[in-house]
Amino acid sequence: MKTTLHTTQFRLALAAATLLLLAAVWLPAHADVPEAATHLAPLTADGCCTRPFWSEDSRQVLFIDKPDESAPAGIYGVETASPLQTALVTPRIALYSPGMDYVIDLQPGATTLERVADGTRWTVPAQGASVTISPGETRIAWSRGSASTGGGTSRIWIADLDGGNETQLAALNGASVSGWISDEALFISGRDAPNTLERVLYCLSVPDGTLTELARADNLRGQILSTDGSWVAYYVAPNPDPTVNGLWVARTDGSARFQVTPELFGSYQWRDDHRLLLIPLQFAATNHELWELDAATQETRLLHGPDDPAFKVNDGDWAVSPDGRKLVFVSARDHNLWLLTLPE
Amino acid sequence: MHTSTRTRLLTWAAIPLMVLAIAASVPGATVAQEDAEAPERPFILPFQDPPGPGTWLLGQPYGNTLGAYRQRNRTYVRSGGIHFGVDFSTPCGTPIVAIADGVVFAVDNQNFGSPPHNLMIDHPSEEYASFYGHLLEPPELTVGQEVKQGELIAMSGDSASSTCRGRPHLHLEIRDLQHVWKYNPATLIDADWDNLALIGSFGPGFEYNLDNPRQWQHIEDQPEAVTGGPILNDFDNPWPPDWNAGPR
Repeated sequence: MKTTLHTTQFRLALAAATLLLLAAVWLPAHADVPEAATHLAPLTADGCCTRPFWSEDSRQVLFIDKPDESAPAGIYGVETASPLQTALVTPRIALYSPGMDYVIDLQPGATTLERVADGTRWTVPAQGASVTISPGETRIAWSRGSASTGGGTSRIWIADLDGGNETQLAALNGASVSGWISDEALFISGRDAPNTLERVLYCLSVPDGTLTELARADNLRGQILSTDGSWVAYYVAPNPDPTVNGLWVARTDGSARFQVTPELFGSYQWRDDHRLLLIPLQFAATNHELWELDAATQETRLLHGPDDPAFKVNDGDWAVSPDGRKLVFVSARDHNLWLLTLPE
Repeated sequence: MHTSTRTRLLTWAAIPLMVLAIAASVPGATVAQEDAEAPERPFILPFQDPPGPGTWLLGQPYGNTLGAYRQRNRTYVRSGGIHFGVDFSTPCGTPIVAIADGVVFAVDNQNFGSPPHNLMIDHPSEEYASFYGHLLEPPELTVGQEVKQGELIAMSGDSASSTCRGRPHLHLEIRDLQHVWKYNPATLIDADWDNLALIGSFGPGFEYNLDNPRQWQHIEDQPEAVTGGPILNDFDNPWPPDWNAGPR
């Protein structure tokens, strides 16, 4: 048996060597394929951590951790320029605004904002609901009602950042605030009727409360705005009309909408105003691929993969830096955070 | 250095190493054949078709999910406060297949939950049982009937509506043969869960225990639960906090 094994090993090795020799001879004639412009490197060790997010200046990756028994739990960070050197950024774990300028404190019946820079706190009229701060940090918005069940009317409210000028802007079945398109327009979702699978995306004008429909479909999910709010990506799954299933991109002024090629259906995040990054769901794939879709031109390009075993995302856990130049992901191989530097 | 030249040199340099690596890898594979051990993940996915927007997607994984944490003292109180199965979002009427050879233990036994219809199959060879919940109609199977891995056993339904206008999905559990311990299907079903987790209504992950934030934060790293056992995720320092107490 052992003799057989050794013979098998030898034959396999010989076959592999022959294949590689052939590949080496073949490569020069096909070496015009450009080198990958992406760069991959680990940021953490010891299997740390999950749900990374970025500092506003894109220099630091942040995450919740407690690296050892004696260390405090908190938000830790690693500079992308100094991989593997993690440090406590703040022991205060809280619901921060995207730039970490404000803390949103939720208590039963009370919503409080705190300006991190000086610790000033004030109550806003959201009565315990979470609020979304507008891009210019002039307004807040929230919803109240039965958004989670879709079974009743929800009301969309706005107020000034200081809590003044509280105004009900709209009342819709199952309505919720998905974000701010600008300081003058909200991005919301709702339903025409309770207890229906059909969900509708709207642009809601702050000055006059006008609703502009952007999309509607049964089981419409996962809507996210591009960085300047000009585009939205979402997916539909499943829909009675199979041609509707998949990933969609639409302009938030209602002027354009298109379905992304089915081969790129998967995880997605905006890189900037108009470029969407995608990791396709490929059931049998060993590694992941990173693609880019330009919503303005509908052109796609492969940015990374599929032959790099280091690029495989664990649990769909990845985040794009605010400057759009880098991507951090939890590695499926070692559960560490890895940095992927993106080409222009 | 020009790309093609460097690539060629690297390829030549890599040949001896790769040959050695391939040779070294063979004994391991042979040992597996000789010992004929049971596969580490003996089960298959409960669907005939691959995942996709028109077929099925991962909904809620097993374990310490954010949703389960919020429901730990209500929906999930009898099973450690965690989501003790895996949910697959799928249209009503999607064919469901047996995840392994087995024997039907129960049809529509509502003591096991997951209405309107459910099915429990024992897999004595693997020493586990599989449970299929929120089925569209009573499975056309009888207690004691043998089923084969991959055999059509039921149609998926909806947990919230008999009209399939609520939350259509399949709830799949893997239990012990006494049907009281619940195990993480992601560690027992032969599938690439990192691919499956790329898209679906899974959301932002698992509840943090700030006294040990690295605990139970991956789909494949989740605790076992037992019916009637203690709440596993009633953390002293959770994140996010339980905001359910306040008006929404």
